[in-house]
Amino acid sequence: MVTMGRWLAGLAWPWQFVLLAVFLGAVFLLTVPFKKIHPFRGQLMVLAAITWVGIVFYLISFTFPGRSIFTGNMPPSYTIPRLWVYALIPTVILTLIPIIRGKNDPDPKWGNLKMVGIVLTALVISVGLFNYIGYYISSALFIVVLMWILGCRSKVELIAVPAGWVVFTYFVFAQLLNVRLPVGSIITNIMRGFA
Amino acid sequence: MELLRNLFDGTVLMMGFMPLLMIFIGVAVGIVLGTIPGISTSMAVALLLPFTFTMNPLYGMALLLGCYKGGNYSGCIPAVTINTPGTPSSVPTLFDGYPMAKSGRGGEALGILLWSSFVGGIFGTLVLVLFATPMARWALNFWSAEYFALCVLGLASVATLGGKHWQKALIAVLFGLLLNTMGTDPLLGTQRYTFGLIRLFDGFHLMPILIGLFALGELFHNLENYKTSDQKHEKHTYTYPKLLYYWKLKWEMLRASVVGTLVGILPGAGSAIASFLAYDLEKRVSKNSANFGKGAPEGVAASGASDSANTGGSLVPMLALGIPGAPTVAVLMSALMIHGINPGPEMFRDQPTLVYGMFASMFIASTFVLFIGWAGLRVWVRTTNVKKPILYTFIFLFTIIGSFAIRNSMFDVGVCIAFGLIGWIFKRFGYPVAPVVLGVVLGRIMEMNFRRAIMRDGAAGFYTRPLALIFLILAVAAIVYPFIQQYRAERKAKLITEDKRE
Repeated sequence: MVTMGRWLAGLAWPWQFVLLAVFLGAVFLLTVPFKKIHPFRGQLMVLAAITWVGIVFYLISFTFPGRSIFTGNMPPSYTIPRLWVYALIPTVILTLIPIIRGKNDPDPKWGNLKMVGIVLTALVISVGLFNYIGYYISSALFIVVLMWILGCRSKVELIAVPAGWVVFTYFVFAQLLNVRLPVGSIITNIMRGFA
Repeated sequence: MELLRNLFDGTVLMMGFMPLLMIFIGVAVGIVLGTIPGISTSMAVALLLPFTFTMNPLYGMALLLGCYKGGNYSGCIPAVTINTPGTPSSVPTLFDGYPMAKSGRGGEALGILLWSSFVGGIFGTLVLVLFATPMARWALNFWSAEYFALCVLGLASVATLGGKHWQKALIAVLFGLLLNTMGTDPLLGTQRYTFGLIRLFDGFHLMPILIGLFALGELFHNLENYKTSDQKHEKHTYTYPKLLYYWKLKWEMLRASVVGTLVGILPGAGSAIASFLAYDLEKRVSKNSANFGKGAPEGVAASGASDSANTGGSLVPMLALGIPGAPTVAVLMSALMIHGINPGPEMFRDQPTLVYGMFASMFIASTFVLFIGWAGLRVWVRTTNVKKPILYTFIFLFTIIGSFAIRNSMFDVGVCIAFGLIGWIFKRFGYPVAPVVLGVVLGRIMEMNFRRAIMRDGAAGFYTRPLALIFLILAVAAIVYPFIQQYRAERKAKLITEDKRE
C-alpha cells in the first residue's frame, strides 16, 4: 500500500489523468458484454471516475505520517481522507445497484458536442494567449469568435460588444477593483521597444 | 428588546448612501439576470461575487443579498411571458402565469408575482430575524462533536432530500469532501494530494470551483442543446390592474409564505420543493381549484410568495448553524469566508453589526424589489429576449475574469474551466453539483471539529454527548428514509401490476 501510494503521489498531474483514462477505459470494456447496462454507461463512467479519485486518495493516504510523540492523541492527517473513502464505498454500491438493475433513468442522448468542443477549444486558446497577447486583445478576439460560432452575424454587434467589454474591464476591473489583468509578454516587449 | 435594538442599529447602518446603492444595484442586476432563462439565481450571485472582494463585507453582502432577492423574483417573469421558467422554482408559476398571459392577463400575472414576491420576502426575513438569533444562541453551546454531527446531518439531509437520485447526491457530497482534503493539513501541516503543485499547497480556492460548477457547467450544458436559429417568442399585451386587486390575494400569499419559509429552513429542501408544495396546498384549499392550471391568479400568488419567502428561510441554517441549506446560500457563505468571516453562531457574537446589517438589507432589498420591479416591469419583460450569443459570451467572460480576479492567478482560471467541465458532465448524467459545493464548503469545518472532538474525548464524544448522538441518529435516519420510501414505492408498483394481471 505504502509503495503504491508513494508511486501515485509522485506522479505528475498529466499522468494522473492518463491513469484515470486507463481505468475508465477498462470499466467501459467491462460493460461491453452487459447490454442492460449500456443505456447507463455515462452515469457509470462518472461513478467510476469518482471511485478512482477515492482509490487514489486512499492509497496516497498511506504515505502521510502516522501518530508520533509530537502529535500526541491528535488524529493523523490520513484520518479524514480515509473516513470519506470509507463512506464512499457503500455509497458507490448504493448508486451502482439501480444502474445494474436498470432502474435509473437512461443517459440523455448527446447533443451538439461539436459546439461544446469548438467553444471549449476557443476558450482554452484564449486563456492560453493571455500571457502572450494580453487579456484585452485575447478576450476581444474570443468575443468575436464566440459570437460568430453562436450565430451572430451583425457587424455592429461583433464590433461593439468586444469594444464595450474591453472598456468595461479596464475601468471596472483594472482601475476600480485593482485586478492586475495580464498585459502579455509580446505587448510588453513592443511597448518597451517604443519606450 | 435587544433583538429590536440590534435590528434598529442594523437598519440605521444600511440607510447610508453606499449600502443603499449596493442593495439597489444588487436587486437590479438580480432582476435583469433572473429574467434570462438559463441563468439561475446561484449563477447570478456567483457572477457578482468577484465585485465584492475589495468591498467592505457588509456592502458586499448587501449587493449579493439584493441580487439573491431580485433574481428569485424575476426568475418567474419568463415563466409568464414566454412559457419558460427562469429557475426551477418558477415552474409552478408557469402553470397559471402563461395561460393568464395568453388570455391577455399577463400584466395581472406579473403584478401578482411582484406583490407576492414582496409579501413572501418580508415574511421570510421576519422569520429569519426571529429564528436565527435564538437558534444561534443555542448553537453557541455546541462543542466540536456536536458541530461535526450537525454538519453530517446537514450534508445527509441535503443529499437525501435531493429527490429520487439521492444516491448520486450523496456521491457528489463525498466528492466535494474528498476535494477539500487537498492541500496542507490544517492541524499538522502535512502536504496532502498536492502532486508537486505549489499552487495546491492551500488546496483549491473555493471560488473557481463554485463559478466553474454553477456558471460554466450550466453554460456548457446550454451549449450542448444550442441551436443557432433565433427563437421567436409570442408577443402579449400587458395591462396592469389597480393596487386594491392584489389585496384580495393576501391569504394565498401568506399561506404560501409560511410554506416557503418553513421549507427553506430545512437544509437541502430547496425553493423548487417549496414552490410546488405551496402551489399544491393552494390548489387543495382554494375555492377556485378547478381553474388551477388554466390561469388562476391564486396559483401565481402561491408560487411567487413561497419562492421569495424561501430566501429568508434558507438563510436561517447558514447564519445560525453555519450550514448552507441551498446552492445560492453556499455562494453567500463563501463570500463571507473570502472576507475571513466564518458563518455560524459566532457571527452573532463577533460580528453583530454584519448580521443585523444583513437582516436590514434583506428587508430593504424586498422593498426595492417591489419598487424597481414595478418601475421597470415593461423593461424586464423585454430582457427575456436578450440574444443568446451576446448573453453566453458575457457569461463566459465574467466566469473567466471572476476566477482570475480572486488571486490574479491563471491557475484558478484553469481550475474554473476544469470544474466547468465536471459540472457539465455531472449535470448531463444526473449528478447534482450543489452537494459538491456544500462538501467543499463544509469539509474543512468538519475535519477540524472531528479531529478536535477525537482529541478531546476520543470516539466516545460522539455517543456520550446527547446532542451529537441525536444529530448522528437523525443523519442516519435521513439516509435510511429514502430506502424505506423506495421499498414502499416498489412494493406498491408491484401490487398494482399484480392487481392488473388478475
